[in-house]
Amino acid sequence: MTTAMEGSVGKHPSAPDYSSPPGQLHFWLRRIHSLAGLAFGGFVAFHLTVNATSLSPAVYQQEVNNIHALGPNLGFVEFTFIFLPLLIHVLYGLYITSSGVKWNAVHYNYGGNIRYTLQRVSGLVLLVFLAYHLATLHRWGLGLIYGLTHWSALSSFPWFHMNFAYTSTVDAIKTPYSHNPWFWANILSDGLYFLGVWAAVYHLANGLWTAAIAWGLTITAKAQRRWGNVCVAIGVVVGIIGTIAWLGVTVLGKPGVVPKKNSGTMVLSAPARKVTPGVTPLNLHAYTTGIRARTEKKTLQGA
Amino acid sequence: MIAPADIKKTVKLNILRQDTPDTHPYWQQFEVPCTPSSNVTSLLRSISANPVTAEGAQVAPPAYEASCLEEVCGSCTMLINGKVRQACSTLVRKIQSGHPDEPITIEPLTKFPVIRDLVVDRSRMFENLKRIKAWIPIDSSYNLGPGPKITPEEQQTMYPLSRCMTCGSCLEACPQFTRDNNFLGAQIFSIARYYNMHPNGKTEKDARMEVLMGEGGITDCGNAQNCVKVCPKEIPLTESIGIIGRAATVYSIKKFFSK
Amino acid sequence: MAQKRVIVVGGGLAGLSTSMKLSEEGVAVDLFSLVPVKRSHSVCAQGGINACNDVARQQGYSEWEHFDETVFGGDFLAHQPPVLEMARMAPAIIDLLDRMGVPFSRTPEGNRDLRLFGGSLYKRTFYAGATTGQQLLYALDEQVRHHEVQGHVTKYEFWEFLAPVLDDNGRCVGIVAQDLRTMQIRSFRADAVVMATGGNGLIFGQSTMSIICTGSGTARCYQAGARLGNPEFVQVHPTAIPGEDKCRLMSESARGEGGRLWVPKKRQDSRHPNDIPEQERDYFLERLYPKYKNIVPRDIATREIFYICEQGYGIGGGQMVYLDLTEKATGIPYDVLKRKLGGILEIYEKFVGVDPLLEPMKIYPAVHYSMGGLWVDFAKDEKTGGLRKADPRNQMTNITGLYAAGEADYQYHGANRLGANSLLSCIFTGLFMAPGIKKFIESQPPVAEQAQTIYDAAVAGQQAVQSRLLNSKGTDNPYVMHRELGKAMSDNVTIIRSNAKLRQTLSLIESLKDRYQNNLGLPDSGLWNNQSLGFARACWDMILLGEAVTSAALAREESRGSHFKIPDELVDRHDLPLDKRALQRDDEHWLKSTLVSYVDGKATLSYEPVDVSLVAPRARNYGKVTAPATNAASAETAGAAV
Ligand SMILES: Cc1cc2nc3c(=O)[nH]c(=O)nc-3n(C[C@H](O)[C@H](O)[C@H](O)COP(=O)(O)OP(=O)(O)OC[C@H]3O[C@@H](n4cnc5c(N)ncnc54)[C@H](O)[C@@H]3O)c2cc1C
Ligand code: HEM
Ligand code: SF4
Ligand code: FES
Repeated sequence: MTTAMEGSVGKHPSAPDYSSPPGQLHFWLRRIHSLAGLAFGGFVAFHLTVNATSLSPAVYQQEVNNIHALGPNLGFVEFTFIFLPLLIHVLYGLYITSSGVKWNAVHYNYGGNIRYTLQRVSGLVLLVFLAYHLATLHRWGLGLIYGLTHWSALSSFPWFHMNFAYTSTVDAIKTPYSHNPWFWANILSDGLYFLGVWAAVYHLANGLWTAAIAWGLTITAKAQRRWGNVCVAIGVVVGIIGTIAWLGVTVLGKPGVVPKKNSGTMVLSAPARKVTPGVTPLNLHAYTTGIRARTEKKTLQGA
Repeated sequence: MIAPADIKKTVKLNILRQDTPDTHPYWQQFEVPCTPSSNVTSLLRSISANPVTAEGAQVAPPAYEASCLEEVCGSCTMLINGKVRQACSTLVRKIQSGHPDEPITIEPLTKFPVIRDLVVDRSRMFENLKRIKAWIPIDSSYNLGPGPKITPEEQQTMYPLSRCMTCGSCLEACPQFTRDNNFLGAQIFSIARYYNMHPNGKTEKDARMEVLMGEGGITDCGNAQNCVKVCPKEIPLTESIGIIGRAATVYSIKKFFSK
Repeated sequence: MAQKRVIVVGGGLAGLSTSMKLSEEGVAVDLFSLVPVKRSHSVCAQGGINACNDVARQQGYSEWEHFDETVFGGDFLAHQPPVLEMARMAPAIIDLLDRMGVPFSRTPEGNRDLRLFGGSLYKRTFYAGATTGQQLLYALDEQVRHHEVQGHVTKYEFWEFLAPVLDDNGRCVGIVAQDLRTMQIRSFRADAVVMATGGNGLIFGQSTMSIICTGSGTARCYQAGARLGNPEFVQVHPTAIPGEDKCRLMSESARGEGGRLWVPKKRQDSRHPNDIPEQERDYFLERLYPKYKNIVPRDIATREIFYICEQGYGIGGGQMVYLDLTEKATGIPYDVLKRKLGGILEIYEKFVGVDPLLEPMKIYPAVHYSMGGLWVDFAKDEKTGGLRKADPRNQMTNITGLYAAGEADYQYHGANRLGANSLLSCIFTGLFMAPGIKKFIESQPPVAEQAQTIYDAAVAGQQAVQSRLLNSKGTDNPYVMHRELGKAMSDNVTIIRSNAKLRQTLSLIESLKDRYQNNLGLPDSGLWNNQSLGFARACWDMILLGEAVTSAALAREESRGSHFKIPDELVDRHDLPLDKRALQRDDEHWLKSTLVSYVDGKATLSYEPVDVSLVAPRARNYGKVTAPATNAASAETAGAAV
């Protein structure tokens, strides 16, 4: 038989040690995640606005040119202010999304909980979308790999080209897999972009709302509601811009069209795709070699 | 109002039972007498007096916790029809209204280890109170005069926070709070806010902030805001979360520059 | 030498304040409770806590008046020195609670607000909304948690106290307790043991108490030889929501803040209460007690309600009256009452489904508080008239080394407790007794030197009881037996008592004892968190306490405070007012405490004089008007004015 005497005085055997508080790495990571999300959110808003100019291929081209005017610095800017935040945000976002949480919006179907769940779902959608989007439209994506390796598996994709910003964007989004915009894979691509835009819009707007709580800007339910209305407004505005951008490069997009310097559009004398049944032909080659040479002379040198 | 026709003389209960912490749970159905004022604890009590299942088998009465029977002690928290509630203040006629024939399901909380049947181990909540130094430090209990003056506004902010009965509803409903992570949860954030507000409780504020900014701390809140919806005491939990978030921002800056 | 330790059984206000003070004094504490201490029954207390205060003082009130009201409210059955000491320490206790962060309700200037409570004409009740007990309990819980973290207190929550362990000299040297999860039974050594296990409302079936308030702690000490004091005094609170599982209290603060009791002047008036005009309502307490109005002490209010319902004026002719907090009746705006009484209004709303600020509540009396309990000693200080500080005798039961505190003791409230005095007596006893306990354990040989054999024997004894219970294969379910006991006790041993009914109850108890011993059937024979086992054990305790209450009530041939006896032949004389039917208070023969010992399996009574050295007993009638009121519902006067 044991008695209380044996334990003598002292801490209860199961009592944890309360003397040393844990470090705050956790706190900083999460706050950096938030900042990174906000920073990337700023970029997304900017990016969608630029892309909304695709309603006018010339303006769009101009915008792209402006961006690329940064020259060799562009890479640095992109990396520090866009990729790094995104990477941090995504990595930690994945950790948050997956670290042993129990989604329960079915049982507790309150607005806040649904928004919480959608924040994570939209994050996952964005993950897929961004991976595809970056791979296919950024010069650091698969295009680069192709450029370096000429892997034939990659050879049939219409990679983005800064000098043919409009055509290449539309081709890469609207008609990447066939000249026929109604080809199922093309429709899928359009759909993915639509989903991606709205996932980003929702995720950004709701992120702005939660960020305000996380940083302690909005406290009372009233303040949160008020700021929530602002976030909805921001979401609607960015959503409209995003939708315009989407329309511009999908529904309204004209494949194979490049802007003529300062005016109208002109049909690009791009080589017609070889249409062999079963295989979607590659027109990258045209962009990277022949077209570039030709167009640089034709359209840009006059600038 | 609920029409008397809605109130059946008996009601079926599907109870998720579990004999010990490491055996498998199983369902059992009971049919028990029910009156217009019956609540879930009174049904459980009737089962104890006559522990026979709907199939007629004599079984051990389901174990459950209850004490005050007026929703102030927090003991009887469980899942009723899938949602976290206090069994004592859950009136049968209310949850049955409209569909009196459907059985009521009763399950133990899912975020705490089951001891037996509906009894779970919520010691984590009490341990967390220790972690955030949930007390006002006093010199001694000798007569040393009154405490600091507190304005009615401050009191009216603090009092609701101090009504938390450690029931665990907010944690049960929180998607961020799970059995195997170490998230502190809304209960603790709100209690910490309470002590940080008090003129003497403030003296431990920094120590509290260190814990609140550590693992499982305020940054693990995902703002699903279920807590405030399910809290039976209607404690403004999300407000407390915002306040702790703000305090963390301020504290981190202060610490960065001056400590 | 190992540090001396004290076991505190019970983590309500009394147990926590004892633990806090002992820790502060450097004594190691082992704290036992059936439930996490933060869920103890004290959490239910609503209205407030009494103490003389600066405002009342300037109106002519003092600690002495507080003392006098308490003794008078208790119909002079309480020993006076302890009550005086309590009243004197009350203001310091409020200050202490304030420092510990209790969110007392505040005045616009930031001072602690006060409200009116039963049995006083002065505002002397501090409160925190309408959940004062919860707020006090939490504040003490936090202090004890602080001590726990520092290693001064070790908590044993979900542990049940089974029995004290006595050495050969009859000194209490520890306890036997059971882990309610693993069902392990083991002994714990202690240099002193404090019982702070609360009241025993459950012996009446439904009461306003928590369902863990079985009185098991008290009863187990009683069976081990501790005496009970005044067990027949059971407070029936005038205003509760009747319920099948529990009667939920509507605190006296509802009336202290302006709530009014009334019945329709017309019998069986079927109109909605809001449709009954002012002149057709009988505010019977205001009519009968123009001075105290709705806040006469509880025993009196309860009997007036009983009487008016007996006369057929209850709502719909039944046993309920209105407690009115609507703005129309009180003249107080909705928001003000919502803020001050939120906690209890919510209870009414949750359980009845009606907003009590918009529609009068329907209430009826319910068993509420055990004035009686473990008999405890005190050491009077002749110089001050109060108690001698740090005297080991204060709060010690007749078993050396076994102390009692809080609702579990019998000391402070005499024959009727005044509202808001219990939270005070709980905290007071804890704080006041601790230095005496320290002195006691210092004067005693350490229990570490006790032979292990007495502990082993005590454990073996409890194990034997347990295996008998686990193997009982009869047909009497303990929950059903409890219901029978509760019904009889409620029907016969509460508001009015008659010897015939009391005898009838005793014979039922006799048969329950017999059935318990011979025909108990335990629905669960497992050894893991077996709740039926604990309840079966408590069921026996409740039967014994029922017997003690009933025998003491049967013996006391007078009316005093909550004990109101009507000769058998007058019980049904509804034509007579209650006080014309009842026995009168009889100081000559009955100004004495009842002591009940458990001898040969039976309650055995003896008596002890009451220390009335400070104020002489006087008639107690709270200014009841005896002349028929003009527009009275019933011309006769009702109630128990003596
Ligand atoms: C609804 C209601 C409202 C009230 N309002 C007021 C008010 O406004 N003002 C006022 O002054 N008073 C009020 N009272 C009375 C007051 O609340 C109680 O008298 C007081 O709280 C009792 O405190 P306690 O510490 O003695 O016991 P409790 O709080 O009952 O604590 C008993 C403790 O003992 C433990 N225990 C019991 N048996 C065992 C066992 N066998 N083994 C181990 N542990 C055990 C329990 O777990 C618990 O921790 C009210 C009472 C009720 C019912
Ligand atoms: C378009 C890309 C993205 C943008 C603009 C963006 C932006 C934001 C913003 C502003 C927040 C709010 C931060 C806060 O609450 O403090 C946020 C939160 C979040 N993001 Fe992203 N994000 C993007 C992509 C992603 C991705 C790919 C993931 C990974 C799955 C992700 C996961 C999360 C999560 C889980 C949160 C919630 C954090 C919390 O509330 O605790 N995000 N995001
Ligand atoms: S905050 Fe509310 S829900 Fe959470 S434990 Fe406290 S009372 Fe329960
Ligand atoms: S029993 Fe106390 S909250 Fe339900």
